[in-house]
Amino acid sequence: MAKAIQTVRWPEPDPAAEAAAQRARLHNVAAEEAQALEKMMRLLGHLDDAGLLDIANALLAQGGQVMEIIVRQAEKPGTLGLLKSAIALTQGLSQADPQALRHLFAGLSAAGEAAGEASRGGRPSEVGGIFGLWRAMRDPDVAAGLGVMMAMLRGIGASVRRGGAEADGAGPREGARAREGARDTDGDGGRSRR
Amino acid sequence: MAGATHVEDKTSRTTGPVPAVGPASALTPARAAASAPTVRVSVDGREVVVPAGSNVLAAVLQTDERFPHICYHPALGPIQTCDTCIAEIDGKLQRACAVEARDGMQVRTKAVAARWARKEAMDRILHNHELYCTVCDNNNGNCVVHNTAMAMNIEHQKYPFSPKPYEQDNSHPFYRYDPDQCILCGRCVEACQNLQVSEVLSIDWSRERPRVIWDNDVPINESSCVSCGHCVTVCPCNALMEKSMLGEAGFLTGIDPALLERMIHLTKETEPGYGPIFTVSEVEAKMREARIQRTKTVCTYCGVGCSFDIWTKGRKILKVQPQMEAPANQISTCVKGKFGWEWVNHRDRLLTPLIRRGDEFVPATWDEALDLVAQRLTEIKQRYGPDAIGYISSSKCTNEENYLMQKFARAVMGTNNIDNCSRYCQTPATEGLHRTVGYGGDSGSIRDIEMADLVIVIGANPAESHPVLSTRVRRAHKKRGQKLIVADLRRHDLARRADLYLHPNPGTDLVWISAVTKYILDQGWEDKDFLREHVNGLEAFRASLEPYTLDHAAEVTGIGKDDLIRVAEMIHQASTTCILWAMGITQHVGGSETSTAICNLLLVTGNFGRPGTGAYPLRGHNNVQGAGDFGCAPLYLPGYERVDDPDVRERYERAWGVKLPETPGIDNHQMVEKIHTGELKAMYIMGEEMALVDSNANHVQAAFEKLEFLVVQDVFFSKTAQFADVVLPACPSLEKDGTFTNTERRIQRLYKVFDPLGDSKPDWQIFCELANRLGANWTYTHPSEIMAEAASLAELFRGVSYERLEGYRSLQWPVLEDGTDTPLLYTDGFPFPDGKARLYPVSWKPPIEMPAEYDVHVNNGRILEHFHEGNLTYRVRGIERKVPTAYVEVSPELAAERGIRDGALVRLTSPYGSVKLRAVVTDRVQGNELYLPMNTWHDDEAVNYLTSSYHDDVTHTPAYKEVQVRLEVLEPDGESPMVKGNFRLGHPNPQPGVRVEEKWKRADYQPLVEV
Repeated sequence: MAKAIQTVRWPEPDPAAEAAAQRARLHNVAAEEAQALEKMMRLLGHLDDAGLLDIANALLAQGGQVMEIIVRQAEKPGTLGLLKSAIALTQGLSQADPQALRHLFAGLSAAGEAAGEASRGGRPSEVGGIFGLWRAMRDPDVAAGLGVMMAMLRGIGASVRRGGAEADGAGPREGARAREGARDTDGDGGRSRR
Repeated sequence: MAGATHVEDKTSRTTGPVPAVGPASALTPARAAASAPTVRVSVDGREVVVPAGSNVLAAVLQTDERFPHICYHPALGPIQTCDTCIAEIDGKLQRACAVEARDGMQVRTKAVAARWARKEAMDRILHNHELYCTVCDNNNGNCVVHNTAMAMNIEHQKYPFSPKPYEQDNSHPFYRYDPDQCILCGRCVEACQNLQVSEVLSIDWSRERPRVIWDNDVPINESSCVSCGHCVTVCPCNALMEKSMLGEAGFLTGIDPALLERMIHLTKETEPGYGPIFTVSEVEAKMREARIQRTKTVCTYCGVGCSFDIWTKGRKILKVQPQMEAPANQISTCVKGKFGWEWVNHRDRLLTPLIRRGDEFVPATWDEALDLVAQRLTEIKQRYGPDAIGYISSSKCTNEENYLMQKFARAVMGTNNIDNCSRYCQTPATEGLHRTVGYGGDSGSIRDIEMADLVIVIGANPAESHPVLSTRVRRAHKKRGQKLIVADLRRHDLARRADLYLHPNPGTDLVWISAVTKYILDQGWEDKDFLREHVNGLEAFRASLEPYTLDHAAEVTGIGKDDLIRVAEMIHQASTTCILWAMGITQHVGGSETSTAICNLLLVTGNFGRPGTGAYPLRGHNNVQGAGDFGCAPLYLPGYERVDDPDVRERYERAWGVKLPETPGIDNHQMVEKIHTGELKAMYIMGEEMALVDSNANHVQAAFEKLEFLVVQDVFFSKTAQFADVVLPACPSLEKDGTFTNTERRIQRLYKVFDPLGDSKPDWQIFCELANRLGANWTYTHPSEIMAEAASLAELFRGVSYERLEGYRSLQWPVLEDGTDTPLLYTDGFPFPDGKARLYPVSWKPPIEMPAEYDVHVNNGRILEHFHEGNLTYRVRGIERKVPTAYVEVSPELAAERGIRDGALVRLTSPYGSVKLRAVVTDRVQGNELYLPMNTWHDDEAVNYLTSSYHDDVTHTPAYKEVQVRLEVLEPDGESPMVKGNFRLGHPNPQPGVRVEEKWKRADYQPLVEV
C-alpha cells in the first residue's frame, strides 16, 4: 500500500560542507593548472607593483559613471572637433602613399632648413622681377617644388568639389530622377520628418 | 545551391538543401534535380543554368553569392519591398527576385544604372535603421542588413537615419518590436499572413511613417498573435528580437539605454565611414561565437518533429533559431518550440534520486536508489514471476531509450509487459493501417499534405495540436486554393477556414465516412484501376457497406445529405486527397474501426502511393511513433515484428544472448486492471504522467496505491511520482543525445545542449546502470551504439546510422541497407505477401450510453500554449502569463440556458468523478457540448477524473472522448480565466500579404525599376 505523498525531506543546507566542497574544487583546479596559475600570479604582481590593479579596480567599480564622464567630455564641441580633426588627419595620412609622404616631409624639412639659414643672416638669393622669377623657375629644384605644390592644390580642390556634390545629394541619374525628391524617394514617409 | 542566401541569414547557418516548402508563387530558387527542366541565362556575360521556374535572383547568386537582396527569403518568396536586388534584365531595371528566369535572358548586374539603383535602395533602407552593430544583440554574423551594407561597401548614410514617432512595443513576454530599427521589408508580415497564416501582422502604408501593426494596431500582447515566432525568425535585422537575447548576446549590449544612445551618437559624429565600424562589429560578432553555443535539437512538444538550433550562453537559453535545412518545419515553429524551454532550468527539477521512507521521500545516492530498485524487482520477480511487473516507456524519450527499456523488460526481466502512451492515443490508427495498408505510420510526408488537392481533417485540431503542420494546410489553402473539409465537434481554426465544415454527432464518424464511401461506389467514382491492381476484398467490402445509406447516415450523424454528397463530390473531383485524423477518431470505443473506415475510403478512391495522397494519423507526442517502432508494445519487438513469431524471437535471442518470453504481454490498460486483481505487483514508469493522463484517474490512482513497488523516472516530481517507492531523476531532451521519430516516420538526431542538471541522468544511462546491477553487462557508451544494435536487428531500420543522420539530415523508415529511405509509402505495392492492400469491413459501435442526468457532452484535448498535463509549460513564465489556468468552453446556447457568463465557476460530474473550473463562453463549441482542455496540473481541473474505463475493444485505447456529465453552476460570475495576452481574444487582420503596391502608390516613393 503506497499512498500518494508529496513530502520530500530535503537535507538541511550545510554551509560549512558547501564551502569545503568549493575549496576542494579550487584545490583541484590549482593542481591541474599549476603552471598557468604561477604565471598569472607573477603577472598580477607586476600589475600591482605598477599600481595598475588599483586603477583597474577603481575603474571597474565605477564603470558606468566613468564611461558617463568620458562620453560627456567627448561630447563637448571642442573635444568633438578635436576628435574629428584627429580622425580626419589620421585617416588622410593613412590614405597617402608612404613613399611620397617621406619625400614630401624630407622636402619640407629641407625647405625649413633653407629658410632657417636665410633668416639667420645668410644671403637669400634675389629673385629680381618677373624675369628673375622665370629664371628661378628654371632651377630644377624650384620646378620640382612647384610641381608638388600644384599636385597638392589639384587634390585639395577635387576633394573640396566632391564634398560639395555629396552635400547636394545628387546621384548619377540626377537628370532622370527628381533631384529635389532625393530624400523622399523611399515611400516610407521621410518627407514628414524634414 | 540556388536557394541559399548570399550573405548569412538567421535561417541559413549553412548552405543546405533547398526548401521543400516553397512559396506558392513559382518564383523561387527551386530544388535542383538532375532530371528537372532547366533554363539558361546570361549573367554579366556568363552562362548560368537554373531549374525552370527559378527567379533571376537564383541565377545571379550562382555567379555572385554576395549579390544583395534583403526582403527576399526562400521560404517566403518575392516580397519586392526592398529594391536591393535590382539588375538590368533584358535591358530594363527590374527586381531580380520577382522575374522568372527564361532561356536566353540577358542579365547585367554591373550596369551603372543597376548599381546605382541598388545603392539608392540600400540608402533608403538605412534611413530607417540605425547602425549600432557592435552594441546590437543581433550582431551575430547573420544579420542581413549588416551583412548587406558591408557587402555593398556602404560607407556613408545618404539619407541620415531618422527615428519614427512610435515607442518600442515591449508588451509581449517573448519578443519586442522596435519601430526605429524596422526597415519595413515586410518579411514578418509575409511570414505571418502567408506562412504561419495567423494573419495578425500588416504594414500600415497609409501613415506618414509606416510601421508594422498587430491586428488593427493594438499592443502585440493584446492582439491575436499566437507567438509562433515566425516574424522574429525571419526579421533581417533587430527590429523584432527575442527578449531573451536582449542585453545578453553581445559583450557590450547590456549598457544603460540612455548612455548607449549617446555613445552611438558620438561614434557616428566622429567616425568618418562605416568601414571601421563594421570591422569592429565583425570582430565582436566573432568573439560572440566563443561563448554562444548553437546546438541542433528536435522539439518535444508534438509529433511534427520540428528541429532547430538552440542558442545558449552557459545554461541560459538565448533563443531558438530554426533553419531552412530542417526537414519537417524549415523556419516554422509554434509558441512552445520557439519560446517554451525555460522549465529545463527550473528550480523544481528533480536533481537527486528519492526513496520513500514512511510518509516522506528522502534524497538518496544513485547507488542506494539503483541498488534498491534492482533488489526489489528481483525479489518480486522471484516471488511472483516476471509477468508480475509492468513497464511503461515514454513517447517523450528517445528511440534509443525506448529500445533499451523494452530490452530491459524482455531480456533482463523476462516479460513482454511493456507498453507506452501511444495506447492512449494512436494505437487504433496503427491498427487501422495494419489491417488495410500494412505500415503503422503516415503514408507520406508533410510535403504530401501540403501538395494535396484536397485535405480532410477529422477529429483533429492541428492548429493547436500540430501547429506547424497546420501552417502548411493553411498556406496551401490560402495561396494555392487547396480544398479543405473539416469534420469536428468544435469550430476550431481549420474548421473556420474550411470549404466544408461538418459537425457530426459525437462518436458517429464511422457512419458518415462509410456512407460517403458507399455513395462513391454507388456512383461508380471509385478508382477502378487502382482497386483491380492493388487492392483485395472489394466485393465483400461493398456488401458490408449496405446499411450505410445517406438517409441512415444523416439520421445518425446529424450531417445533412447534401453535405455528405458534397464530400463525395469533392473527393471525386480532387486528383489527390489526404485524410488527417487524431484523437477525435481514435479515443472512442470504435476507434480502430473508424480508423479502418478512413483507410478504406482512401483505398476505394486510389489515394495511396502517389504524391499528395495518403492516410495521416497525426502523432501527438514527439516520439510516440518511435516508442512503438522500437518495440515498446506487448506484442511487438522493434520494427513491429511479433514476439510470438519464433523466427523473430530467435534473431533477438541470438543477438542478446538470452531466452525471450514467448507470449505477448499486457498493455497499460490491462496493467491497471491486473493491479486491481492482484496479479501485477510492481511497475516501472519512465517519463509518463500516468496518474493524470490515463483515463478514469481515480481508478488508476487507486491501483497505484495497491502496488508493492513502483519506480518512477522523470524530470519533475509528478503526480505519478507521489505513489512511487523510488523516484529517479532523468534528463530532458536538451541534456542528451539520441533520435526521435516524427509523425512522418522521420528519424532525426538531437544533440546535447546542456550537461545534466544536478545529479540527473539521461534515461539510457539509468537503464544501463540498472541492467548491469542485474547482470546484463551492457557496455553502451553512447546512444549511437544502441541505434546501431537496433538497426542490425530490425528490418525497418536496416540502413539507419548516426552518420546518415548527421546535423539536419533525416531518414524516413523503412530504410534500406544502403540508406535509401521512404518519404512516400506504397509506391511499389503494399507490404503484404501478394503486395496488395486489403479492404476491411467495419461496423459501427455506438458511443457509451449514460443515464439521462448526465446530459452534457465533454469533448477534450489540447490547447496551443500548453503541453500535456502542463508539467513543463506552466513552468515557462511567459506562457503561464498568457494562459495561467485551464478552463471549460461553454456554447452561447448552453450558457444562456444555464445562466453562465465568462468566469462562472462550474462543477462537472460524471459517474467517475468531478472537476471544478471557470467557464469561457464561445461559439467554438455548440449546443450541449463542452470543451475541456487536458492541460492542467491541478487535481480539481483534470479531465481524467471524469473519463471512464471504457475502451476500444481491439487496442484497449480509452474512450476519452466519450464523456457525459452533469453541469452545476457554483458561481454565475467571476473573473474570466481567459486573460489579456490570450490570442483568442484578438481580432486577426487577414491580408493578401505585404501589399507592396500600397508603398509604390505613395507620393513619396520614386520607383527604381523600369516598368
